[in-house]
Amino acid sequence: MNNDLDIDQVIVRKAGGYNLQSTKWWAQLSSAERQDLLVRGDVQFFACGVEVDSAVAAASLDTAHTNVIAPKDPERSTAPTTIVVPAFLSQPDGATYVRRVVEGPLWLVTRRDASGETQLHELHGRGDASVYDLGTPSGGVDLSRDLLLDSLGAPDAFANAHAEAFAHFQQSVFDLHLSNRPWEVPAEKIRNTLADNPYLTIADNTTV
Amino acid sequence: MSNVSVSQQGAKARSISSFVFVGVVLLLAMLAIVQPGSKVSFQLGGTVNTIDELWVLFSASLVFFMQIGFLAYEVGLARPAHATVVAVKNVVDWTISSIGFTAIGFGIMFGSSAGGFIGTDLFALHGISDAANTVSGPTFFLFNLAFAGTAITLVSGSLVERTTLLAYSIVAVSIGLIIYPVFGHWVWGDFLNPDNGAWLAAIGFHDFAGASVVHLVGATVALVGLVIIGPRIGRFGPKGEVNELAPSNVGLTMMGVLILWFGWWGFNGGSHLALDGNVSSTIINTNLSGVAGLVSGGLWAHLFHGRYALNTKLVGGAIGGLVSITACADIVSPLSAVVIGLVAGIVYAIGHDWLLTLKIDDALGVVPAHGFGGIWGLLAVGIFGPSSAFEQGRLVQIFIQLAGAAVAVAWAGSVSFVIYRIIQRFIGLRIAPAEELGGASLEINENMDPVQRLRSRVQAHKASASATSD
Repeated sequence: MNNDLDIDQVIVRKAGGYNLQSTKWWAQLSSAERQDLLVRGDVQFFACGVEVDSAVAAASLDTAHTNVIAPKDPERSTAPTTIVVPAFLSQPDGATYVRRVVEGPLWLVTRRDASGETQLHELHGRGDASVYDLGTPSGGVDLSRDLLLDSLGAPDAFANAHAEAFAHFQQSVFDLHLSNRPWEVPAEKIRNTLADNPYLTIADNTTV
Repeated sequence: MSNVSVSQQGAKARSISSFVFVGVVLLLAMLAIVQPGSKVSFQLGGTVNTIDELWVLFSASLVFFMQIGFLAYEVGLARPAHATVVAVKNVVDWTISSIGFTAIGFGIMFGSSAGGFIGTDLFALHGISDAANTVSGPTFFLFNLAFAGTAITLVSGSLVERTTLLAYSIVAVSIGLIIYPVFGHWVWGDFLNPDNGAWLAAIGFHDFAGASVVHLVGATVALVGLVIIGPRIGRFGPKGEVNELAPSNVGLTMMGVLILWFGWWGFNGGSHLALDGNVSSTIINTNLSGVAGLVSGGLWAHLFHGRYALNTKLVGGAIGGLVSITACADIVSPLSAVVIGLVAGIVYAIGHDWLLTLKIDDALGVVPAHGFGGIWGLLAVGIFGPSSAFEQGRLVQIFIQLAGAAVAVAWAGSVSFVIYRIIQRFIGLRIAPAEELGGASLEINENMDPVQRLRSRVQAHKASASATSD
């Protein structure tokens, strides 16, 4: 597999149906063609039978394509990218993200506030709670994006503009293969993970 | 997730447009057949024998009955959410083959030949004047119509759960109009007119009842489709591991196999086009080969794959045995039929697993049973047939049989490749991913199938919840 999300099927809408295309086909499109398909919602990505968010999948395939077609330039790839972290969107250090078993591989992620009080939520609606199927790549991606949403406030922009940084964050902040053990992510860990991200430089977290 | 609802709406619109398109095509074909002022007439030949006529008519009915077997076989192996649509496609492809083969296909296959390559008359039932052996033209036509339906429905089973009705219909029309009858003309084109000089038959190629004409051609079209359309979503893992997709009703599949088996008695027995002394031995050979295929396929699965693969290999082995003997049921001994069936079961088992390693998702095992089994059967003609039947010697006959198989694959493969590519380029071959994962949503089953209704509601609820969270 040539992408970190194991995307193996790209399905594209045509006039009267859909066609299955390879990830190579996607990579060989021009950026304008790719953007056009994404904007029109005419492309869907699947990893092992599970749909992956188009923007995340596209970013993953673009990265894989870059690595395959043009080997990574060490200087370029390690050059820090400066991003701005809005301080008011970052969680206090005492906050902790907790996931709980709901059913089989599904987990309820909720937030525990600084006092240690766990805030449980109903399963419907995004709010502060979501159900993630961590047995799938898309579940992991969704969880990462939501953790970033709470930490940075702009996960889509982050994930789309900084595919490598996002991939590093995803791999560092939690383990897809954690099995069914209780699991918590302190806000400090998220903050430190971002700070240690070789693809990022936190410019100034007091700047909006 | 709002894309899902948009996609479902688009899919619904496309389903409707598919029906309209197919309806218009069928209507035009009907108009071509029933021309105002013209009269469809059959002039029976003077040698028609009533008993033979009755037997071939009965055999034609048995072969037509195989459509029900294919339907049960395919519905049983499809996932529950797709069962209704699979059944509908089986009915649709019989309709398409009936119109296409009647209007044009029969003429191409049995009409006066242009250089031994293609028939040029007998279109839309006009001008059938000769009897074939001792059966009338109309009876001969009905028998071959049932054969054409069999070749077409093979593709339906292979591409199950992922192909749009419109794309499948276009492929089915192409098989009935061009692919099947043209190759059939090369092999059987001189049945009605001995002067046609069908070129494969002329060089000594022997295919008694359609191992190449029906089964190999159908399987080749299916294989090309499988490669171009691709596997079902989630069928294979990132490292090529095979994810089993649970069938809806194995019992129904087993019933389908028995119906097919029963129909095969007519498929091979009727191919003598007479109720002579050879019919019973042909049917015995057919039955023995099917039994042997089931035994060897089942044993292979038991020895190498454990219980899970047993159902698949039992069924596939039996079908493989029946396909293989189709090429040579008229000339081999019962013992040879057993050997042919035993090998066919193993050929099926190995072929089935080989395709999976290539990530080719043949949902019903059509290619290993009808394709690989068909090739094996064609070779078995030269290996097990009596030497007296081969004017040019056994080795040359084996080579001729191999060449005939290669021609079938090349012809059916190349034409179908072009057709699939055109559909892929301009229309699209697959149903919407939401339909593929949740069940195809033809309007006809939304109101009929309670399970489908429940699934649709669950999907809509999930989409709504996701949209809210976004």
